[in-house]
Amino acid sequence: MSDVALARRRTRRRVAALGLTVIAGGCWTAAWAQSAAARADSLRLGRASLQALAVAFTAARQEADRSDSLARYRLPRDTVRVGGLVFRVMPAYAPLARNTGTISWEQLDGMFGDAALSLSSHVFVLRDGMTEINRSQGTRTPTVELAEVVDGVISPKHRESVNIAPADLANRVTRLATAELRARQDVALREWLNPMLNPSSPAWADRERTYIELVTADARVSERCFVGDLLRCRQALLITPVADTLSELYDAAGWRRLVQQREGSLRSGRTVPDFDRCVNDSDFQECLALLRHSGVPVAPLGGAARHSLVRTALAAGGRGAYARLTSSSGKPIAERLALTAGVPVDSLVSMWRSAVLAARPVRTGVLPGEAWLAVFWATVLGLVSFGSTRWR
Amino acid sequence: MFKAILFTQWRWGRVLVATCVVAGFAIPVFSVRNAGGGSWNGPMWNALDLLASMQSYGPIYVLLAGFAGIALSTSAWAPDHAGRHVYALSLPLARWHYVLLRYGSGVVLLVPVSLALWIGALVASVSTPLPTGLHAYPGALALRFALASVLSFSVIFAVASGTKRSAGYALAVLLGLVLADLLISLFGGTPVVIESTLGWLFSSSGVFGIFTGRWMLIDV
Amino acid sequence: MALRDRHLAIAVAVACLTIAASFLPPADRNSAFRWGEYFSLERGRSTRGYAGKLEQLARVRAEHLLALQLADSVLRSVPAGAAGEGPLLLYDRRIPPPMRDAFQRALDAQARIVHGPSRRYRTVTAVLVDTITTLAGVSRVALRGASARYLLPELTDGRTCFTLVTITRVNQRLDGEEWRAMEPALLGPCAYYAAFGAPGARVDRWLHQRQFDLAMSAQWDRRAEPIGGGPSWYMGVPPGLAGRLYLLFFQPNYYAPIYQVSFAGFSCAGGDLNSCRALMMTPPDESFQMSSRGNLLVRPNRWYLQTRRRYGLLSDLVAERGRDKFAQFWTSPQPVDSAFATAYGLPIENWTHDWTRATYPGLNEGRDPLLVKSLVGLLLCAAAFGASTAFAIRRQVAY
Repeated sequence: MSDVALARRRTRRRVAALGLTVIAGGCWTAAWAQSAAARADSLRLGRASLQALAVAFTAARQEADRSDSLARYRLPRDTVRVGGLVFRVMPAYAPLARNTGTISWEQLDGMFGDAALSLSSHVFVLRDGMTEINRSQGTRTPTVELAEVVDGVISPKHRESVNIAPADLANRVTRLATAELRARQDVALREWLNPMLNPSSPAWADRERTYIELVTADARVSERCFVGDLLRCRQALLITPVADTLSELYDAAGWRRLVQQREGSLRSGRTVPDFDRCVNDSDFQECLALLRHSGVPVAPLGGAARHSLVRTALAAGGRGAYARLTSSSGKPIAERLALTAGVPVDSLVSMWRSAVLAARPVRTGVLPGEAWLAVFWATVLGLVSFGSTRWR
Repeated sequence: MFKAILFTQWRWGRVLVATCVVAGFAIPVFSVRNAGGGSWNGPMWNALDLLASMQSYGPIYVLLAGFAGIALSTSAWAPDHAGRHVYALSLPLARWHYVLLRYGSGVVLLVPVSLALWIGALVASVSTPLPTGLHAYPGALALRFALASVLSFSVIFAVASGTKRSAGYALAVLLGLVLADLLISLFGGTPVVIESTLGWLFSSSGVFGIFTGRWMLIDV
Repeated sequence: MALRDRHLAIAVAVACLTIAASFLPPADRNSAFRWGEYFSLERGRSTRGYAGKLEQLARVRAEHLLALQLADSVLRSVPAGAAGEGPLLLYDRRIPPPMRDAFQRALDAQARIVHGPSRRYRTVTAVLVDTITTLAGVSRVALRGASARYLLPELTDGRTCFTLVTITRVNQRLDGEEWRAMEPALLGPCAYYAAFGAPGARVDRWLHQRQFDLAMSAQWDRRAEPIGGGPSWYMGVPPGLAGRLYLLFFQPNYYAPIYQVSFAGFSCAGGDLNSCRALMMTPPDESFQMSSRGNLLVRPNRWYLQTRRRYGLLSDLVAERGRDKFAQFWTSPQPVDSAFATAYGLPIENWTHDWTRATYPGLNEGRDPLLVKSLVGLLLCAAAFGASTAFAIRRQVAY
């Protein structure tokens, strides 16, 4: 009998045993409940025992799943270590793993500092992902998986099902690692940071995007932040609580634009007349009511702004900064960022704002190299025509 | 001598130059026509809309630069070709000297077009109240336009100055690229020769790199 | 001569001044905007435009009513059955036996894919011949082939998900792509109800806001083929080198994947996770969607389904990650993103990124549109001047 069949059988047995236990527990509870005086107590106890059984059941099922997947999970033999990253690879992929690891570790270490070392409890598995294209052309491209090592037992966690171009591999590894670190963040931090931090994208890219957001956002508050109002910056970054986001950060025209942008979700069924009153008749109070009623989350600035702020804090706080950020759960985000950076929050926001303003993406000007290249080619082509003959 | 050549070339191409001058002035002015009032972040039109509108005018600048260069270079040689180059032969000048004079006159005739675009861009950006954080780039736009038009002028000038045989060579190179792709695809490969050649020509380090930058009068 | 140059200079100056005077200073579009006119029916202020819009609205409503009437009359004749039984197929008596068999085979194939332990809803599929030519006083747009509409359980007896397939001709050929596309249409979103039960409240709201566009197909025995990097015939472009040259020089925007994918899709494929999130969390804005309404869904036509691959997105998700996890996501009471993260252990935007990359390979290799436009423009200019030069050379010059 195969490993898989064995594991399944084992799972079935466990589930059956647990089912019997649950029934027995139920009978026991019923017997207990005979006394009318003790009914309330017995119900409470019965519920507790059932809950305990449910917990045990879930744990057993997880254990069964794990043994089931372990039975099918085989790792390649070669091990490659780069920094805190451990790869298990097929021999052909060892050089690729070293390159990938070097790039990836640089990104992870640069952002998370010492906290990145905790990734050594995981292994990244590189193996062949065969597709029809690979088969027909005789080429090979790797897939990457992340597996966790607990007490020497390796269990798969994420499997990237698509094949990856080698050039993309480092980004994938970085992303898987970041997702793993993100899973350990507390909910408040994770929700505030959402979407996930991206160590593969350079810090200036976030700052450039933030600059563009600051000058093009619908919320009035972002414009105030741009001209130097730090309180407004904190509000736009959602680190200073605002009693009412819509009325404090946006003006009436902004409400209307918010509603208009969300036509797909806000103009359906019963809300059609409300939407039309807001957008067509410019009934701003209706816009506000519609936004309030729908409960759509509104943030004056996108994820790039918050990411650039966190990156500023991490850069200021040194190698232990990320650990301080994650270990300070329960405190307000502003305070946590101040702890992370080791400077007061206003200084941090001011640093962030200066960095963002300095990152203004000037791409419209003509670069000297570009201009000289055009002049060069114009001259070359002119010289070519000087060599032409007058005789036809 | 230069004056005489410039004068003849101006005679041949003055309607074209005048048309390009008007177009060069008009495009930037037209591109800001909705951007007034200063009530940014309004319900109908905000900074993002302004940028999108500016972006949509990019190809029009490119077209004008290409058109001006190609039109003037063709008009510089068309009468010579039609007169079977008798005029050039009758002049007491070396060939290179004659070509230089024609080339120089052509470039001089492109100057008013770029100048008109610069003035148009200046007028447009001065009369537009910009939202916080955005900037106008009339100088960079005019410079890019000038370089692009001179470049397209040079390319067609070089082809037109040659004999039929040299034009044939140019055509043969193009056909060779097509054939190469055809052969590659016959043998089951992905035809990439034309794409990669064009990609290089228009890449930032290629011959026509100046055409593919950002043609924005107003940008961040 | 000099006089003519002066005339030219004056004409240029006058033209420039006129342009400057007409367009400067720039108009303030925000204050010039007249409330109530811009988006309303009267915007064009032409009676014909107004009537056209009304007619369109009336037509859509009439189609809905018709679908509901047909469904009502069919459902009244359906015997009450248990929720767990297999899919039920009903026919119009005008449908010939070979066609019935073909439909039955297609439905069986679909049922084999959908089969699962939790059949909390039963599915009823009715195939009717629709020969009505005039509806609400206007003639109907000719419907070719088959079309499918779905009545979600809330619109029926609460535990039946109903598919109404209408065909216009009974002598259709039973092969070809059109027919193959019918198989997933026979159950459509009902397949999800049959296999996974009712969606959790917030997932349900999300699906309704998107008009179930991500759940139009249930083919979770395999992941859909990626849309090729190159052009394809159905876009009217020949394959191979000829197609590439054609696209390069004439219709660069027809490069198939680029043509189909929204800007958000582009940036998602390029790695912008915010866009990936937006793709999933905000409903797409497409005009066909007005034909679906509430719990009555209309299957988009074949062209849409082929080019907008997202209609099979959830099917790909089931195919890739399995039914159990999907069931957990589908029935989760959490908001969509949290439900996804809980079920799959990764953020929804990351999976969307992978899906976009896998579905539209070569998407991020798209050329800079400005480059292509410039190139085409230059080529057109060159061609025009080549032609005019050839013409000019023939003439004698008298300078």
